Amino acid sequence: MAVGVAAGVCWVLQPYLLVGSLVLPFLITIMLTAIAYGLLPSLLASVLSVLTFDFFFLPPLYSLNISEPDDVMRLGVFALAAVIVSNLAAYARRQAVTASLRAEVAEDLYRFGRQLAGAASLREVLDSALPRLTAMLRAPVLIVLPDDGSLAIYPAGQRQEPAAGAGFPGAALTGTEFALVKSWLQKDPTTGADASAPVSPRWLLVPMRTGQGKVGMMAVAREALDSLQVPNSEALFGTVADLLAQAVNRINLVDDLTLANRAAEREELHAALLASLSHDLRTPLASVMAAAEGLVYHRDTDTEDVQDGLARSIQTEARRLDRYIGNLLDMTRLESGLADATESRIDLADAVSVALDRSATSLATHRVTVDLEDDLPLLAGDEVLLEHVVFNLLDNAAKYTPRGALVELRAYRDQATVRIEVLDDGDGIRPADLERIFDKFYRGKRQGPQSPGIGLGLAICRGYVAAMGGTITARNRAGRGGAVFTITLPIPTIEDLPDLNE
Amino acid sequence: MIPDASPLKILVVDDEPAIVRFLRTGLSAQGYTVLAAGSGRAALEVLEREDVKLLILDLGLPDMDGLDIIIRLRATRSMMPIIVLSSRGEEKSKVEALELGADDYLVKPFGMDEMIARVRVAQRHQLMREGERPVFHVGDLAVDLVRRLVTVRGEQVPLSPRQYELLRLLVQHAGKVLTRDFILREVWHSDSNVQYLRIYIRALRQKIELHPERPYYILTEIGVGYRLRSPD
Repeated sequence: MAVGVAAGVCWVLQPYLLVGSLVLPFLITIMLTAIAYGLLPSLLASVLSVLTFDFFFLPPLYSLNISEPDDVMRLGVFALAAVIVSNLAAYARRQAVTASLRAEVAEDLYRFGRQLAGAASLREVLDSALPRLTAMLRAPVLIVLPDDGSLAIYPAGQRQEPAAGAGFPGAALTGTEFALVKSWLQKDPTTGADASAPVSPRWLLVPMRTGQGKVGMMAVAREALDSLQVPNSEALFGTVADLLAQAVNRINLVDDLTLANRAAEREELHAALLASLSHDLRTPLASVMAAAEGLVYHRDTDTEDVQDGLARSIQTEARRLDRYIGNLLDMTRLESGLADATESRIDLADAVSVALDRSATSLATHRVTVDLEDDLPLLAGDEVLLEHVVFNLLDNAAKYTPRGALVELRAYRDQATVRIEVLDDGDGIRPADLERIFDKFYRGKRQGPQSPGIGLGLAICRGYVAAMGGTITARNRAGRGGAVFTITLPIPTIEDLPDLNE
Repeated sequence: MIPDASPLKILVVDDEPAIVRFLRTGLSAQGYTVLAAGSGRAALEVLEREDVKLLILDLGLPDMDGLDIIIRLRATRSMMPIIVLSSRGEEKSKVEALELGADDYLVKPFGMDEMIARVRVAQRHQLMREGERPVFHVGDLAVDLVRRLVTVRGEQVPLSPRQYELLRLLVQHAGKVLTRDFILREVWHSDSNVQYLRIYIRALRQKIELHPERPYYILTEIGVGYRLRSPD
């Protein structure tokens, strides 16, 4: 077709040009064919062009015979030129295609690298790497990492934990292949960075390594490799494996660092704990001991009133001790990591009613109002934790405000959250303390009629609320005195609500 | 205090002598005979030998899990009331003990008044098994179990069938703590949807409580379930 067009152009141009110049449109056509369709079509176009040229433009016209010897020469040169042009153009085409594939791969690699750099855990590395790798290499990919003396295999594209101990899930690696990778990974793991990779018939095994040594192994299915049209695929796999190795290595280092940080934090907590134990626990204990001694040794001389007083002080101080120890236990529970506490559906009214009952004694000398909005939604949380938090806030309000003060408990819906507020009309909190009162062992400068606790209550509250996916903050009331503690909890979506007329 | 002429025998199983002494003093003053055992094995021996009417059981024993004693007792079809003592923060084992057939629980440290109240409820509950009274009264709440009528402060309260079932279950076990799973099984015949229970309890409170946010009749046992105030 293209040759026909070229012939047409030549027909039109014939009167104005020498016969020799008429080959140019044909050559241009051949070149375009080569660029557009590659070598074979352009060679075909060359042959057609030569024949057409001979048929239409060389005398005798409309015959493939050639009368002039000059024209034989001319035709020969034309054929040669056509073939050369075909080859050159086709080569240029190949280069262009390769370059654009390279650019695509480079782009892919760049995005891959960025994604890996953003991953914060091994899970995330694998979750982002595997689907992208499969898409990029257009082949099934496995990542094999050493795992506690054995291997963990992560199948591409599936969010599936490798079966513990099972070794080769989904027939991804056969036993032999598994053993091959395992022995390679375990052989001299620190200095083996330049050890050559093992070879397996079904999988192309690409080592993942960093300057520190072997990190793992990437396996690409060989059967899919043949159809892969990526230039220089070995180098590409190497680069991908290196990127992965670096990401995994980075995660391992971060994990180590987190562990170290946690250990340091724990040490700090232990120190604070010891300080607290020696002071805060011994003070009430000393009172208990003194009162008990009084009861035992001065039984004959003390009046009944005095004895009663001693017994009561034992009771009060022992209760305080119990509270301290309870707080310490709760804190330990929090420190050892509280699981996600948003499993169950709870009614705020349950937690509030129990917290009000429990704080009734300490709030006996205060005025208390309760205002729960009608039809508050159920919350996602743990009622034990929520009750604990509400109780602590009420108890704090009682502790830090004078007799007769007003303590208000409110709960209302605010967009997609429920807010629970405990307000008092006491002296408020020093602005500098508003955030620090939630720190462990920090005691605000609010001095109340009773001695304050060990500075764990609000830290525990914050931990508990966080476990339920919420926040807790403190502020002072604008315009008038008093503190406000606000718990904000997200409203969960609850399907399947019962029909109350049933 | 006790209508029976022979004093009621209570077995206290706890390895802390201070707790045993405390319970012995307090319960004896109420006219009960108190036996004590410091280990699971000793407890089983006493149970074999003596005619024990009520068991107070600490879950953390030196030689065996307190839960095992509950299992053994209930396996012999004994209906002896069991009150479990647990330490703070053991919500799980508390619920487990109740599910296995314990009647009630107290968290250490507890006061004598609380213990005596629980003992009375457990005792009365056992007596009530034989002859249920047709009309239940507590405070201003009356539930007529024969005519299925509920009145509060003299006024009849309309309840949906399911709401009545829930209230009736609470009334039948008045004063006793019922775990959420138990209620769900009894009223909904499945223990899946805890939000059903929450919503129904809220609806019941709206209907029978004067201050639903500070309930008087239907009390929350945090982390465990619900309890209907026992008639006094």
